[in-house]
Amino acid sequence: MGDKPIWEQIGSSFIQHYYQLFDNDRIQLGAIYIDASCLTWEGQQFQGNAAIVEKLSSLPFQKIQHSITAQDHQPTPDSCIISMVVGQLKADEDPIMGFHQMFLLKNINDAWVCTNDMFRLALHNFG
Amino acid sequence: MRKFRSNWSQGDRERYQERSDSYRERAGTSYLSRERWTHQEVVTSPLPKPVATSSLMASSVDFKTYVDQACRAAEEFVNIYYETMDKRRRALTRLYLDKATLIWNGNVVSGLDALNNFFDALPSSEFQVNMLDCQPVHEQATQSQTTVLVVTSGTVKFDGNKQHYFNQNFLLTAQSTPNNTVWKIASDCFRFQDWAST
Repeated sequence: MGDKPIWEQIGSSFIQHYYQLFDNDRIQLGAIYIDASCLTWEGQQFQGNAAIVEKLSSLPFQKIQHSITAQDHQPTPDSCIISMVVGQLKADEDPIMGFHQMFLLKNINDAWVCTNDMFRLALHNFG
Repeated sequence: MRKFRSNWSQGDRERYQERSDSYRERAGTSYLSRERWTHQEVVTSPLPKPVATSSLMASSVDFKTYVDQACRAAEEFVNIYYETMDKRRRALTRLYLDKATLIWNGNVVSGLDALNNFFDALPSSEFQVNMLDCQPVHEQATQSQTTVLVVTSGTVKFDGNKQHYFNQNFLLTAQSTPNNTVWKIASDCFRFQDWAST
């Protein structure tokens, strides 16, 4: 039985690191984005490290916890990695909600950064 | 629950409504010609590049235009994709690059032959897309072709199975000529959301 493909190793490492930072001190997420990064958060677009960190830091909850249900990783033709995550989260004392998130990772100067990030809550009832 | 939701995504409900209305409208009045539809390709007019390529970040106005145009192409593509999946399943793999890879609920399907076999064996489907997000991949991230990332979610019912919520993401690449741009899927990832919504 061989090891997991390299993109799965890198992708799952990144995912673990990302949610650990997010859940404990999300201001530190700045290190994984660059000036060219784009975030789409629940339909809102943010471009650039600064704008992204500002959005994430300003989210209105004190406590947050993510739990990953499933993750998938694929290499892209240009040696980037695309990762898709499906899971659940709980913020403060609110009910648990589903979410899904997609990341595009690129290796720049030996570090893997996130150039594209799209997040959506799994909300099915808009009543 | 409503208050919490509004904390997460201010104004999202309006945006969702706007977005999903315009998405459904577009679905009914696609500007792709009948001929292109029959040939099962997604062809759009050439996608302009953002202007300021010397700096890492294009000016915000140019970038927004670039994003809008990329996303319009992506929405057309998604519309064609699900309609083909539901109604012309045998033509679906024409929307994939030869070396495209699909991960379907964790199962890797790689290359056109495997994709053909896979979609042939998959029961007939009825997809309903409720949400779509897309982003162009910045030139700095891909050295060659125009690339767009698309995330969709909604419901699907496969013949003989119960209805599921699903999430899917696509990496689309544009093969450009001076006159048009042909879009194909380079990577595809599909998963059911398994928990019941409340």
